[in-house]
Amino acid sequence: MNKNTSLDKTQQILRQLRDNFLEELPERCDTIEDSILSLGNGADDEHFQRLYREVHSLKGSAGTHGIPAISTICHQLEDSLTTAQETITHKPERIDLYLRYLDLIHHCIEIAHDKRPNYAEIDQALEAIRRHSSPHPLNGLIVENSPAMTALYQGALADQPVQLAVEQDGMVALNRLLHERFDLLIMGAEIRTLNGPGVLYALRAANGINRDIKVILVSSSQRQSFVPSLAPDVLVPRGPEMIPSLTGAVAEIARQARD
Amino acid sequence: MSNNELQRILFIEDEADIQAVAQVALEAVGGFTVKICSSGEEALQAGEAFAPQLILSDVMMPGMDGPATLLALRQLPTLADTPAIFMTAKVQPQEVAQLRTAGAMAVIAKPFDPMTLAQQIKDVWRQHHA
Repeated sequence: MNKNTSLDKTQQILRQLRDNFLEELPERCDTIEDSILSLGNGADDEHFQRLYREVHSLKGSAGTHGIPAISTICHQLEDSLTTAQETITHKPERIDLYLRYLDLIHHCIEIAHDKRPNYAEIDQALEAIRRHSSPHPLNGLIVENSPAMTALYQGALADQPVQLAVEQDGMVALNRLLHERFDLLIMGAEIRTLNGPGVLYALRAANGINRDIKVILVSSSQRQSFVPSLAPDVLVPRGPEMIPSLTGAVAEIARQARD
Repeated sequence: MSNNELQRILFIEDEADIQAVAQVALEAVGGFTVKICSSGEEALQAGEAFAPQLILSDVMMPGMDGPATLLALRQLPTLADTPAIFMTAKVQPQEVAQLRTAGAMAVIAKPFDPMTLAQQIKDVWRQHHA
């Protein structure tokens, strides 16, 4: 058997495994739904951990089978579960929120069966859920190596109308930016795996959902140069003026979004 | 074939569908011999007899998680020094650092690409033995 035939056969097996995954997915969704409903009835921490693991596993499986839309839904559901767990609240509206994510997974299963699956409406629905469930009109992502700097940004922006997620690794952040909608990216220039300009160039060059979002780059270099069409919207130098500059830039972006 | 060439992998993963995809990725694409265990307990029972050159383990599993499983496997004389790689969907630097402290020579991010997983492992193996 030559190499191409062997690869074709491997691809065929992988396609079959993906089909099996899709076939069994409604049953996995039923299990998750039962766990969510039990959570609403005051289930204990062990129950919560089981639900979290189910969602986390589904996120990994869907990505491995080449269905990133389901991974993105699970990612947001995981974030919602984590937030609720931190505040120990699974109020009825939170349960409704979890079930809305689950409905979207069911919808993804239908789309995945199409010959040319198009998940654009899933992206829109996820964005609508996020806007509905968040008290903040803007969704921002901080990408920064240093936990101390991240805490500094979060503290400074606490009064701004932005909900902030955090990543510390450039590649992980880029992957998230390609699949999850954000309004604003605040990024250190010196981050791991892929540096800030690298993430920025890839984001602008890729024809993704966040291609045109506002980007604030925080850099210790005073003489950072960029390809003009790929430059950040705001360059904030590290130093004594960093926090006022960052806060001012975010306030201005929020104002523009509001107007 | 050199003595350092990687052939035998003990793969620990509780999810059946990930097991199936990884089996294709490691055996059909990578040409490895793979023993799959669905839990840390199963790995402890089957690990020594299989005599793996590499332990490849999921992190988040019910019962014994990946780091706990590796810690237990390390107590078995023949697996005390066997190189290990963790696979996880949580790839934050501090979590990766914790997994390395727990004895992993590398951490591979989930979801993995079935067509490139074997090469990723070969690259880590080569670096480890350079």
